[in-house]
Amino acid sequence: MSLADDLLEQAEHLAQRDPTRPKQASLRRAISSAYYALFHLLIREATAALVADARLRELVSRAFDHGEMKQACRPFAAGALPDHLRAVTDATVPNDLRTVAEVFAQLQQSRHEADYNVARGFSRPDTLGLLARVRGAFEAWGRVRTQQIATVFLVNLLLAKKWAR
Amino acid sequence: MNGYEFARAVRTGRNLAHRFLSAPSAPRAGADWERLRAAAPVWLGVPARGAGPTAQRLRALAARIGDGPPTDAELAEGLEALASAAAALGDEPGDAEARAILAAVERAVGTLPPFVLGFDCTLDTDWSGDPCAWVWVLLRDDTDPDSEEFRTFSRELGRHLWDATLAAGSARIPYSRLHTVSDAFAPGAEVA
Repeated sequence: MSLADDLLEQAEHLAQRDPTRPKQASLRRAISSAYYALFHLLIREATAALVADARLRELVSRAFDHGEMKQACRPFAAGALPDHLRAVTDATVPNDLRTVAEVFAQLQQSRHEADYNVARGFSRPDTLGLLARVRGAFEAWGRVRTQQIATVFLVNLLLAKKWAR
Repeated sequence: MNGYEFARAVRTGRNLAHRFLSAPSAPRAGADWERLRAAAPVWLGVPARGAGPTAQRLRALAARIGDGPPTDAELAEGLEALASAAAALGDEPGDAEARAILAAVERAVGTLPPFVLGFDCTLDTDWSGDPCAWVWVLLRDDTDPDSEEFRTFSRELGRHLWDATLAAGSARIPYSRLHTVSDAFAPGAEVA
């Protein structure tokens, strides 16, 4: 199994611990792991699409920025691409790709709160709802990953900020 | 509970009960009415912790209701108190946008699954400073988060929220939070 799959499995395991009285630590780590599962899935796919040299991929993977990736997801989540992206794809944004983009944005925010906002409590339904969305995003990615617009999405994750200049 | 928290609790109540506040002649029976009854600890019980005459009135009502579900007459009395509190507060900047998002969320979600009691919306910024809309989903306490119905609802929620914010003409990033009645009613709980 890949790192992304392992992280998602770990997240689901943590969220299912002590179902009647889950520990905040378990729920918080579950959300954090679920975010990084999706993050690493997309980084792996993006570097594979961008870089032929396997050794170079590791280095390129460190160039991705969380905040920039969230911004890059926005037009895909909304299903409304800017002109420069519409110019390089004939497709409208498939629902599966919208799902991947919106789940990434949501989980990034939730991960930030899970890791840093100790004033906020997490409930089991909230956590399991988020994990169901990440699992759904993995499945959606599996269906859409071979489409040309999926490659546009991946490259945009790294270059959106530069293209916006 | 300070003044800000009371105002926030009244706004949450206004959002949860909006069908009956905006249309007082709406039939007081059926699924929406029963949702309002199940959500009473939040829209009626939380503002009752505030200070002032409206909170006092709600507190007296909450004491009469006790642990059981409120009767139709008690719900009607609570709605009346909530309506006067909401009218006294008036609108703040952003309330109209939040209401438009909520209305669009309800249209996008359509028929609510039985475990969903209602929605609330607050406008804020996210971790990176981008304007965002938090959509709070209030769930019944007995919601089974392991059920297929719950998973399906959760998976579809994100797209509904994006569709709704776009339909409402908002450029905010929509985020969701799910909480149960008990979570929302707990003293010191982060109120929507």
